[in-house]
Amino acid sequence: MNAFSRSLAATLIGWCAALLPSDRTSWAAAMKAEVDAIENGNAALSFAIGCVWGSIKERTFTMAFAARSVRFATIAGMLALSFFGAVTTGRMIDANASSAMVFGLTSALFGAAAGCSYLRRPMALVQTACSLIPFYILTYVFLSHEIRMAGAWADGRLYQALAIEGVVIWAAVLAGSIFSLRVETLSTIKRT
Amino acid sequence: MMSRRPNSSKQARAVLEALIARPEAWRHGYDLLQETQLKSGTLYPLLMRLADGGLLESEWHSPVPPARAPRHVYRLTPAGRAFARSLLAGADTRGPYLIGATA
Repeated sequence: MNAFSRSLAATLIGWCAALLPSDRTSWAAAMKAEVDAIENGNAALSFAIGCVWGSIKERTFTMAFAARSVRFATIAGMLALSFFGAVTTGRMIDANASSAMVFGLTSALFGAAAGCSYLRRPMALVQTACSLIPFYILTYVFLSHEIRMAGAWADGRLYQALAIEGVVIWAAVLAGSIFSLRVETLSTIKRT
Repeated sequence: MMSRRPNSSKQARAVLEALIARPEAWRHGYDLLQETQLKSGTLYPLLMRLADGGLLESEWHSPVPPARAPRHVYRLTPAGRAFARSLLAGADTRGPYLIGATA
């Protein structure tokens, strides 16, 4: 049992080197040396499990990791919205061409924004969001006015809902991109 | 640069207390672990944070039997001792250090 615990501890402590950021390599070696020095197998195993958890925290509870996660989630979310828009376009194209066009444009917009974000970093998204949020607000105001003036014209309510959704989504994208930019700026200041 | 808030968590205090008790002595991680009753997953990030802040120095020491390999040992730097004393005395410790939390 002691030998098994020691062997498991040795395996786990080996993971720390991979889990810790590269500038923490000496700490991974320090943890491994401690495990080697602990005679009791169970104590070594408990120590190794704690070290793995500490290494995961060290790797993940950082602003850089949070910024990367936000960026990944933003791109994935926009790709999902683009896909959803494309599927809806396909379903609506025969029944309601104008609505299908709106969904198609939305799909293309999110697809392009995802690509832009991947290639041009968060600033591209900040610029896009800053341009689109006023556009969605104006669209909502325009639609509200039109519905009052002419009664319920085709899909007015749907477009209003899409405009509100657009404001919410792009506001979230804007917040995420500003966070990523802020983290990038801070890390640049630290390096210089 | 964003100013950092000092953290006087119970865990950070325990580590500093253990280190300041014998300020000249080099301490092993497992030794500190047993004295503070912390988990290694809490202790090592704390030690890293202290070292990053220039409060902790470390060395590799030759093995003393029954240990077979060199071990990493730690002690507070002069700045670390001053910080630990002021923190443990409950004085105002506003400074550029963040201990006990990952940034």
